[in-house]
Amino acid sequence: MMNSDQQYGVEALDRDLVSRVASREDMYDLFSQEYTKRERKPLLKSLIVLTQQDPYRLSETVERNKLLSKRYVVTVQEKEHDFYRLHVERKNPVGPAVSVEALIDVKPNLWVIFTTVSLYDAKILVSLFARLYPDFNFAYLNHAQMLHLVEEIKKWCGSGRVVTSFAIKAETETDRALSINRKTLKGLSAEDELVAEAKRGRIWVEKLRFQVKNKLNMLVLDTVLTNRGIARLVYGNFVDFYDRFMTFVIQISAELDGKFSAVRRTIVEGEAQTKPCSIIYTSSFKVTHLKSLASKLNSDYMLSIFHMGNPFFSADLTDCYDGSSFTLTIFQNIITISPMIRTTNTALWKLVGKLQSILGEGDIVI
Amino acid sequence: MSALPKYGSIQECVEDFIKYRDTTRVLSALREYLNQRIFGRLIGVEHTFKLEDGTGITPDLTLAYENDSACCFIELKWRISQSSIKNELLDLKRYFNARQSLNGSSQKVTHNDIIMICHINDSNVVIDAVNELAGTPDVGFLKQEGVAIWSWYLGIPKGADTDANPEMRFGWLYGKTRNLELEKKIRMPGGIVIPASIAFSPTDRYLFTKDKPPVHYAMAFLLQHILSSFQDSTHRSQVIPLSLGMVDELYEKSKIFFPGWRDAESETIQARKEWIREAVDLIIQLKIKVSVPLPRTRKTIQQVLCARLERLRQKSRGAGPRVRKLRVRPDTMSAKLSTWFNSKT
Repeated sequence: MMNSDQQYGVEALDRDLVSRVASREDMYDLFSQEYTKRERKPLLKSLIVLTQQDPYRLSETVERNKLLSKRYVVTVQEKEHDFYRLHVERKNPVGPAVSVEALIDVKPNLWVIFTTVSLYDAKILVSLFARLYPDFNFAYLNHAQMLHLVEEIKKWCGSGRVVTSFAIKAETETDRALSINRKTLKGLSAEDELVAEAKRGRIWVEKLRFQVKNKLNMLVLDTVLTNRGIARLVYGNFVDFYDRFMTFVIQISAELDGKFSAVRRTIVEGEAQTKPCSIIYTSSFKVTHLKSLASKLNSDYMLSIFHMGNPFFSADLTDCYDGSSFTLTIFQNIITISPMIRTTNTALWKLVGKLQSILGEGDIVI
Repeated sequence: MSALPKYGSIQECVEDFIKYRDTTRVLSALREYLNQRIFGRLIGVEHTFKLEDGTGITPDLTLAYENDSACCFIELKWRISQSSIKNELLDLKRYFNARQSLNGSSQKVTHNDIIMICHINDSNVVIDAVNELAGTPDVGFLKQEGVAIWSWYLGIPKGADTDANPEMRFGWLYGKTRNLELEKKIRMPGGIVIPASIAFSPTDRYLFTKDKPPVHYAMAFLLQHILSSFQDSTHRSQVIPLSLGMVDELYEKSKIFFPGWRDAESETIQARKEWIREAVDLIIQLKIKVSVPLPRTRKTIQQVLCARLERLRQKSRGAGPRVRKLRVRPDTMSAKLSTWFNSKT
């Protein structure tokens, strides 16, 4: 299957695009100029990384990790206030090292990273930040949040037209077993179809692509967004992409992050009060859904399971890297995560994302 | 050195762990259920009443009824063995005969009811013991009105489909209380079924009961919820220096999971610290390194702890080194040949 870069005929990538950026203003000018031209060019990729760290401490964080320090060399250079240039080099024991140039725009509680390297090379950044958990983490955007994003985009484009397509995985129930199929929901009714699919069974939205067209039916913006908050600008003005589209994505992430801050165990008048986080589904879970859950969770969590295999699943789990601990309860169609003594937003993002990637996407209620 | 738990098998050890946790869930659910003011006014969980002779009683749950003129004490048991049943029954006598006052008033209650709730698997042990002991003068009070024994059960009903909803149920075993509403409810066919919204409420209020937990339960609790919270981002990959001197600090962190922790008496606090001390001692003995990241295991934490405790017990008894069993896949040619050879000889 072709990736977007290959689709647009980009084989030799223009790695110098990022190195030509000297300031935030330069970035706006250069990317706006480049991505409104109809010519072969690398897609602009942007990653939303949840962190509270100072970018200058990134290389120190990598060096502290023995395994990562052997594989990666990271340098960060400040261009202007809260705007940095990032250079990551991944050593390859059997071939030449691969280097990635990127730009970091620091926002409250997150970084937006831009790069124009190929998707394959951009994955070096994804894998680096994934290994730096819990200092860094990715958001998980589910179908409800993506639909909310499409609504916001529609409001913004006013009289224009938004054509969306969703690449989803949907679970279908046959006489014998449950199977998962990949589908693409396209056209003007894609959102309605997505809602219908979500009501029918469990779904996972892998990618959202939307094209914004103006009154004259001319393409204004063409972007792709994955459920891990990785966006690609195929065509369009960078100002629209960043100040409109990306701002909505950041808003949605920040909104949920704010809600996660309320998920804590507190003491009110001498009694422990817990504020749990729930994920609500349209249908109840089956034994088959829960059986695989334990084996998929134990790679990152210290688990003690009390009830498993019937519609009532109950377990205590501790995030091995972050130290946060939770009680996980699944009963009928609701997953409930109750905080214990230590609970961080980072650990909650990870757990909610992990549960949704295993059991399907639901509505997050706090 | 702390005493190591004795179990017939690892499975038994794991079952005990789950049974204790289920009991804490039952305690939380029962508190919510009784707080609905159908059967009376809930005084509290592990509320201590001072008696005239200077002693005190701390039942698991206390319910006042008949305009606070009578009390119904509930004692929830996670495990009852044949060796401990007589003492458990004798303890009930103190509750039954006590005459305490409520809310600091000088007026004393006219009578106390006492309900002992044991796990359904222990019901035979309890009933046999009651029938045997009821005639003796020490426990003759068991024949009186106001003493009852119930059973608790949490799980899928027997014979139901695997996809059936689990339930939390209390059943009548023996005796009678003077709380008419409670008595009417428990004598209904099937007993008292706690509504699913309460029984499977995701927010567990307590992780302990008044009874001592199995040591591996306390160890898992410390590892999962308390020691894990000691880490901070600046001290990654460092081992937390665990010692018996940390017991007070660990208790302070974990006390909110104990029922009635606010009004706990010094003796109760000391007993709870002793549970923690024992668990810390065994974590040190098992050489479990508490570091960042925490150790991950393919099996659940209770299975790992049970297996390691069993190994430590065998080692302390002087058993030789663990011999790894050679596993032969049954479908391999060598296995077939050896089966054939064995059948010939």
